[in-house]
Amino acid sequence: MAEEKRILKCSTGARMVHWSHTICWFILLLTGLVMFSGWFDWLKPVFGGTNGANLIHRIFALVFVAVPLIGLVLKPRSFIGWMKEAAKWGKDEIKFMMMFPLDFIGIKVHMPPQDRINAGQKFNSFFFPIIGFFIALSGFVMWFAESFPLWMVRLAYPVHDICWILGTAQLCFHAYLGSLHPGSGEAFWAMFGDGKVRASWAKHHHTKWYEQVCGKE
Amino acid sequence: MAKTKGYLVDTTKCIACRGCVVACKQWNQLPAEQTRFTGSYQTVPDLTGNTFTIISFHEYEEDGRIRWYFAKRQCMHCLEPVCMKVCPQKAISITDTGAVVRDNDKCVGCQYCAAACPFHIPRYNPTTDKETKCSLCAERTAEGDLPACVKACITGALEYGNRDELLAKAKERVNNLIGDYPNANVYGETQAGGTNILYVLADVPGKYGFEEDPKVSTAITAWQNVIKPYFPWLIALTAAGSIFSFFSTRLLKVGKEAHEGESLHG
Ligand code: SF4
Ligand code: SF4
Ligand code: SF4
Repeated sequence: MAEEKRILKCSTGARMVHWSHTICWFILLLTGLVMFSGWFDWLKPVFGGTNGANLIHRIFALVFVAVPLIGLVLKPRSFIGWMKEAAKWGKDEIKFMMMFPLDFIGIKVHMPPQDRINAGQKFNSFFFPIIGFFIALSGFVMWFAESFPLWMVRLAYPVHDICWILGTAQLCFHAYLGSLHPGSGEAFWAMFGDGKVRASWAKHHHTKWYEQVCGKE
Repeated sequence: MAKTKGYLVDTTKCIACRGCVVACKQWNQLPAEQTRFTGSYQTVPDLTGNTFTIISFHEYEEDGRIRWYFAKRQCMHCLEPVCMKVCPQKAISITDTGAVVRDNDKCVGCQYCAAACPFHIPRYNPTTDKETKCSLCAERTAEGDLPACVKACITGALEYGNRDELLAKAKERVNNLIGDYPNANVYGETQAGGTNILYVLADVPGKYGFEEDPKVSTAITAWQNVIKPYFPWLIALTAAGSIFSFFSTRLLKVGKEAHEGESLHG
């Protein structure tokens, strides 16, 4: 294939936040599991016992909260732009979501044209930040349990657990759909590479966006 | 459950000498802590990571004179301990005699037991990064000794024995008191599903700083019965779904043109 035109899908800032959150999530997940259940005792030595896991969990919890805040302070406009994009829902998005299960199992469907981020990605754009917010909030209450009323501490545990479980469940889908699902390779290398995708891929998967960037043919 | 043992705290016999508090410290080798005078005779303000029992003082003015209500506080050794159920490390267990004990090596200091306990007993010790509480001196009673606090009590306000016998005794005592103290009652028979530590109170529990009917919070039972056992399966489900899709998409597209002229990995 001849050298093809490539267009920018994910900005450097977005990629950095996504990357660091990916790392944080996995470290927090593993160190958290050590505390969640005795099933994960074998993980303890990796983190230097439970005390080590505790400490690492807290350090990365701070990073987890700091990263999006730094992004927000440095690039408030691109954050708002992203949220605006994600909030744009129309017929094409709803149709995409309804047809998605078929595509998921491998039945060929013709998807309605999508923006720079498709309906599923729009969903995630809200899902993960909301989950992350409640994890951070409940974690904060658990960390400083003595400073909060008892009912809040009691509530923090189920909230923390529901959120990380829902988040990790969705993450399984997200990780697979963003990498090994047919047609996703390009987007994967956009997020974990230089942020760019082939124009012909964009035209096929994100038609509306392609037309905005490259004009209608 | 088989016969369980505990002790009876007869608050009407307690003179707040705090011998039990000192004995507990000594036996468990717990360091002394600095306290400050805050206007009450209660010298030790609260349970801490280094204090497993205290005598709480409650002062009321009744009929023109000061009345004191003393209550020994420590783990109640519940018949169905919530702290044990929620502990993610299974660090808390019940001994043959019904004492609720905590294994220091297994405890990771997550403090969930403290939040779950309806009596708000376990306390965090930041130095050791462990949660602490009274063990009913299980190591002593296993050897046929009395709990240190019971042994130290000089007035007979503390009595160790079989729960059912102590309960009968407590009821009898309340019957004798009821003439002079119409609100006298037994505490611990039914509270939080029943406890191995029983109290004879001369007045309503509230006067001793006890909750009338401590309940296990629904946030705790929901976590315990629904979230922890079932929710993690969601992760397995989405992971399995993704693996399924990985294969089904590839099988269904065999020989067909994948994604309109694109290669499969497009
Ligand atoms: S009083 Fe609290 S710490 Fe003691 S056994 Fe009951 S639930 Fe556990
Ligand atoms: S602090 Fe220790 S005893 Fe309490 S729930 Fe956590 S691991 Fe169990
Ligand atoms: S039973 Fe033992 S550990 Fe519990 S309060 Fe008495 S002396 Fe302390």
